[in-house]
This record gives sequence, C-alpha cells and structure tokens, in this order.
Amino acid sequence: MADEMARIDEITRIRVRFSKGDPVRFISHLDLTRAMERAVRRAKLPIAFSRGFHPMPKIAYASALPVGTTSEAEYADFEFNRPVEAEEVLRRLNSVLPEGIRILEASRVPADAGALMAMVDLAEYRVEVVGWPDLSRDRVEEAIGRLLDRREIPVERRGKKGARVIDLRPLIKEISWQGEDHGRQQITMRLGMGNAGNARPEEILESSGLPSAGSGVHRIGLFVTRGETFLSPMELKGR
Amino acid sequence: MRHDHDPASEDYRQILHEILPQVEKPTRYQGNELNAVHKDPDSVEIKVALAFPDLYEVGMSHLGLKILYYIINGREDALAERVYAPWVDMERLLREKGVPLFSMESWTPLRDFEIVGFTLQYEMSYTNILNMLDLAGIPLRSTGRGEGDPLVIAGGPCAFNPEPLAAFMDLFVIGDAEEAIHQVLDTCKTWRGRGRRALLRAMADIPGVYVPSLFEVEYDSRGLIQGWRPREEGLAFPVKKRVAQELDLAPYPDAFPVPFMDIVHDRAMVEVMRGCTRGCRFCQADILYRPVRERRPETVKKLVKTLLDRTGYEELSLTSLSSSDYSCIQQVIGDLMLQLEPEGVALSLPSLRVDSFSVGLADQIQRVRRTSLTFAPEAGTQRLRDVINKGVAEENLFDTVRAVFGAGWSSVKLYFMIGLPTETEADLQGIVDLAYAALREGRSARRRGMGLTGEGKLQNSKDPGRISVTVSASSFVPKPHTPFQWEPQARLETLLERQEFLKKRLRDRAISFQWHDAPLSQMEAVLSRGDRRVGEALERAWQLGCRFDGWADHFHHERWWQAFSETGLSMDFYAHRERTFEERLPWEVVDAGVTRQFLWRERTRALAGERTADCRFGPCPGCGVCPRLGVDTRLADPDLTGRAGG
Repeated sequence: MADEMARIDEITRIRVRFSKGDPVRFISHLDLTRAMERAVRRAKLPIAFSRGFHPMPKIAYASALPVGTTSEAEYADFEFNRPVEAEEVLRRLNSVLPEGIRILEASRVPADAGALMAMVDLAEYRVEVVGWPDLSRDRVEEAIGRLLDRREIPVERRGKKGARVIDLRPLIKEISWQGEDHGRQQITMRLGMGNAGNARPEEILESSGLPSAGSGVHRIGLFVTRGETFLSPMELKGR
Repeated sequence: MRHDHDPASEDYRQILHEILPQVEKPTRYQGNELNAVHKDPDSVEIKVALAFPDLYEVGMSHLGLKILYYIINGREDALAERVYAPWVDMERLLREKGVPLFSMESWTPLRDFEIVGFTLQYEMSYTNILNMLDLAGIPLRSTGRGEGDPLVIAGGPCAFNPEPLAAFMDLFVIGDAEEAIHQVLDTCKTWRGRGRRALLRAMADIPGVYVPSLFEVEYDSRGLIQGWRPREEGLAFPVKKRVAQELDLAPYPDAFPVPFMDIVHDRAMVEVMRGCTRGCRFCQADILYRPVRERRPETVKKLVKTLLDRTGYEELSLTSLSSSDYSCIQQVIGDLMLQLEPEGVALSLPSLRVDSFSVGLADQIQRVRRTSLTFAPEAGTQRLRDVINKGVAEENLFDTVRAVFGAGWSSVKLYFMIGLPTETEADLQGIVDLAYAALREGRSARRRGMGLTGEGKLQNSKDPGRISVTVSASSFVPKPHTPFQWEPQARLETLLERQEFLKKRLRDRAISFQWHDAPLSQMEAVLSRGDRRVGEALERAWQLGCRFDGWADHFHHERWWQAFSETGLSMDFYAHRERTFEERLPWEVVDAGVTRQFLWRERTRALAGERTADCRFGPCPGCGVCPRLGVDTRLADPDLTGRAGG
C-alpha cells in the first residue's frame, strides 16, 4: 500500500447526513458501521482504507446513536482516494443501502476538516410521551418547568468502572412542548453531548416525572455551537 | 401452547412489535436484512419455512439452508422464509403472550406454512426442534398431525440416522437436496388436500425420501432391532442417499441475506468442493458426502464475484471439508488474491490440512494480521494416527509447525480427540509431547526471526514475538456409517481421567488447554446412534426443560439422565456398548452408498494399524459409493481426473 501515499488534494472527503429509521432501530452503532461499509463496497465507491494490521474503510461518524432510537440527523465523513462527486455518493449509496438507512444530503468538505465527533456538541430530539390517558399539555409543561427550575439534576450512570453520578442540568439547553397527536404529547429537547457529557432523553423524562417515551425517541438534529448560533455539520464547510 | 388461546393474526403482529424491544438482540427476529426475500404469501402455492434449530447467529452462518432458500425462492409457485430457535427470553414472552412461533420475513405463524423443514446439523439441537414445534402450535408427533398441519420434514447430516426423530418428522430427505427439494415441492402441490396418508405415500416414492411412519420397527427379546416392517406395498428400503453429481452446474445462491448483527461466520462463502475421500475412520462427513465433486475454477470465480457484488462482504471463505485438497486451489487463490486484495477483501480457508503446502496457502492469503493457524493432527502418536487413518506423518507435523512459525505466525492451535479406539496413555503423552515440541519450534523460530529484520515476521499486535500453542481435545463420539460405528464410546470416568491427565501435564503458561464437556459428548453418542426408542427420552428431556443443549450454560446432564431413567432406557446400551457385525443398526434405514463390508474391513484395518489411501491419489479401496449410486469423482483439474477412479 506504499503507493497509496495519496497527496492531500487527491483525497475527497464527502460529508453525509443520513437517517436511521424504524426498520433498523434495534441495530447497534457497530452494526450500522458494518452495514455502511458493506454498502460502500456494493456501490463500488473508491473508499480509502486505514493503514496497519487491519485496514478499515475510512468512514468517521459524528456520534453513536443509542439502540432503539431513530434519527434523521446522523452524520458521517467518507474519505475517498479518487475524486468523486457528492451527488454520486448519495445516489450510489442509496441504491444499495438496506431498508431503513437513507442518505439525505451529501456535500464535499475539505480533506483536512476537523473530526465530526470532536465538534458536535448538541443534539435535538423529538420525544413522544405516552402512558397516561389524562396527560395534557398543561401537565407536560408544568413538569418541564419544574425540571428547568432545578439547580442540579443528578442521575446515576452505570459503566464498566462502576456507578457514577452526573449532573444533567447544565446539559439541558432547551425543552419545549410541540404538539399533540392522538393523546401523545410531543416534546423536543436540545441536549448537550460530546466532551462535556451526554444527556439522554429518557433520563430527562424520568427526572421530570413524566412517563417513558415508549418507542418514540427520534433524533432530529446534531449541531456544532459557534457562539450564539448552532450550525449543522453540513453548514460547517471549513474547520 | 394451544390454538384456542392464540390471538388473531393482526393482534399478534402488534404484540410482536411490543415485545421486540424487551428481548436481547431484537434483530435476531426482524427478518429485514439486505437480500432477505419477501414474497407475497398469497402469490404462491407452497410456503416453506426453513428452520434452523439453534440461534440466529449460528443458523445464519450455515450454507446448506442458504442454498435451499435460493432454490425455493427461485420458483414462481413457492416461497421460503427462515426461522431460528428463539432464545429463552423470546420463548418466555411468546408463551406469556400466546404468540405462535413465526417466520422471519413475513412474521407468518409456522403452522400456516405447507412445509416446515428442519436442518439437522447437530444432535444436541434436537430438543430445540421439539420446542419450536410446540411454540408453533404444531403437534409434536407425526401421528398427531391432521390435514391442516404443515408437513414437517428434515434433512442434513444427522438425517443419516433418522430414527431418534422418527416419531416427530413426517419425512426425511437423505443426502444432497438440490434436486430432491423440487420433487418434494411438486409432490406436495399434487397431493395436498387428498389426505395426509396419500401425500406421505407419494412422498415415499421420491428417491432419497424416508417416511418413518410407513415402517414399523421390530425388536427381539434382548431389545435389539430385528427389522423394519413396511406398512404399505412397494416401499424402497433402505433409502439411498441423493448425490448432486454435477456440482459445477448445481444451483448456488447469487446473494446471501446479510445480517446486521454479528454472527458466527459473517462472510461470503463459496463451496469449491463437496466430499472428501481422505478416509479418516472417525469422520462421518467423509462417508456421507462421497464421492468428491469439485466446481470448476471459472465457476468459483464467477460465484465469488456475484456474491461480493451483492453482499459487500469484506471476507470470503472458500469452503469444503478440506479446501487445501481442492485440485485447483493454487490457481484459484492466486487469481482471487489479485482481484480481492485491492478491494480490501480478505480470503479465508477453513480446515487446513496438516502439511507445509497448506501453510504456504495460508501464507499467501493472510498477508496482514497473522494471529493464529489451526490444524487437526487428531491423535498424539503415529500409531494412533494410523489407526484412525489420519494421513499425517510425524515429520509432516513438525514441518508444518516449523513452517507456521517460520512464516511469522505467533500462535498455533492443535486439535485432538481423546477416547479413540485403542488409545493408551502413550497416545495421551504423545499429545503433551507434540504441544511442547511445537512450542520449542516456535521459540527457536522466534530467535532466528529476531536476528533478521525482515518485515512481516512475527507480528502479533498484543505481544510481539510471544509464542503460544493451544491444544484442544474433544471426546471421540462414534458415528453412524463410519468404520467406528460398532465401537463403544469411552466411559465418562475414562474421558474425565484422560482430560485430567492432559490438564496436569499441559501447564506451561504458553500452552492453553481446552477440552469438551464429557457428559455432553456422552449425550451426543447416545443420540447419534440412537433408535426410535430414544425419541421417547428426547421428548421427556424437552419436557424437563432441556433446550439449547449445545450451549454449555444450558446443558443439564442430570435432566437427560432423569429422562432416560424415566423412560426405562439405558444410555450405556447406546453409548458404551460394542455392536457385532450381525447386529441390525438403527441407521440401516439409510443407504449412504458405502457397503457395510467396506466399513467392517476399514475397522479391521484400523485395529491392525493399517492405512488406506485416498481414492483420488491411490487405488480404489472399494467403498462402493460410485458403482452402487451410479456416480463418480469429479475433479476440476483435468490432469487429475483420469487418476481418480470410481
């Protein structure tokens, strides 16, 4: 692979936004990466490989979506070792991807653009609250209000190294009631993620005393905070 | 599970949606993988559920069902869907909610299929078959099924002794099913609705099909089989196995369903050859799949291309019982490497022969990431290897190990069997000696390698240069249709003592020793050579809660022992008794093509330590397969074809 010392201007990096729909909601992030790599092979796209003992296709994701959650705002950067148009990547991948995974947008970014995972710091979710027959908009807004009034929202996380407590409060950027559909109350949440820690929509519902989201957590946005504005990874053309 | 408690079909789909998030790995049951075939159930006449009686991860790795899935779905009048054994969490929820076992693709209850076909790969999955039938609401016993129930059929290697499952199966298909499956489907179309008995009788006329309910077994006062009495006129007996003579022209899938989750063998597979005539005397596959038939290199390469195009797999395996024996292996590997390496697709060869030629092949295909190579000398001394006809000379073995470490691998796995006929302590000591000799070879190769600076030598990401040897010892299980079919299995205490002997002596930190659960091997021996009466104990064991017996955590030998004692059957009788040449054996209902005289002669030669040559390279040993079944060996290399006689 020594002859693959490709010059930087030959590397084409394409950023895509994709969805993970209901048919694939139960597949893990590892399963998703495998499905994506196999799609790239079927599409015969000139993907670049990492070096070393175990060459891997160069596809970098913005974040790992929890199992059970659906999304229309997943992002990944694909690195190709030959020039290829973003439009072609979108079209060819969509013709071979399994049902439930769809590329929604694609555009070229500079080959030396920073890693998505290190930049994305905010996620937006749409959550459907179900479980109580008499759950009204007022009750939902009241619960949200009380939650936002708290100074600290400690929750316990269990990891491989045992349990630890984290504070959700600073991670909640915004929660708002959106509407009602057949008695299901819809809420959107903007929650911090990345280096500062992740807040999970289910934890927010639990802390606010609302019933669980059942099967209804859907990610609708991932953002990079730049001062007062939130940019989608597709809007971030430079570093 | 009873029919009258089942919810309506729309309801249970809703229930399934609700219970999926509650089970471990819901993708096991979703059926929406890439290349899964979704046909409209109303558009076909025959719906076949292809059932694998183990977990999705295991069943999805199996080639045979993929071939049948492809063949059946290729017919306009039929569809095939998959079903695997639900894991214990899913079973609990299905029973709790009253949802019948369903197929993957369309979530159709199994009892709504015309045919439910099980593949029999392993005796210890038999309880899962009963459990799946029960979960599906299909009567367990063939005699209990009526007009509306599916035809429950089975095939695969364990079908070569169909008797333990005789009560539960309507019919067995013996041997290669590529052609037979069409006849079964056609017969089903013609005879369905004209009475179950008439349907089964028509099925019995298909070559290779055994309908157990059409025969009655008679026993003598000692409990030995006297014979089989046909209940109807004109039944073929014994049932001759089917052979796909023209393997090169046989249908082969152009796509596999590609799983989302990790499975046991997650890769594209192309079967380069079927059969093996090395003649290892313990090996059942050797007899069942005779004669050797190879695909032509052009066919292999074409299949590889199509499969990779349609699946996107990053690994391709050239499968067979012994792929280094494929006559065009060198050429095929050379051509494939040129094509696959730039695409980042790895090539793998399972079950390598023990010789330096095979190490050379592995050296060619594993250019990166050299971790471990596996070989199966099977026995620790030359004497015992001659008894089992494992064609590995002591010097060969050392050459192989030397070549492995010399080419840069840092670890080797050696597979052995304990409890083989005539085994003594010297043979066990031989295993120990071989393990240490391999370690010495490895260490001296490492010292030589350290002197060199060549790249690619002794790469091991964990601990560069650290040599390790793994010894795995399974316990010998005498199998039907082999020269050792008359042999007693070593007793449990003996197997445990021999495992202890090895454990005590394989204590070096660089050697890891693995062994198989002896009570499990004993149960395998009982089931594999069982007769119809064993079916009673099997059913009782299932009632006592036995499931997933092949999984160490789920095997409860005391339940099996209880089941045998309650049904008045002796495990000794099946596992540990030496049979005579005159005894009628339960699997005589099947004619595998090889004569009993040949097997007995091989047994005699074994006990005398005499080797028998492979018919591809030496004289015909007269096993009987070719003349008796009207088939012959087909090698892809035209220069070799003349030498291989029938």
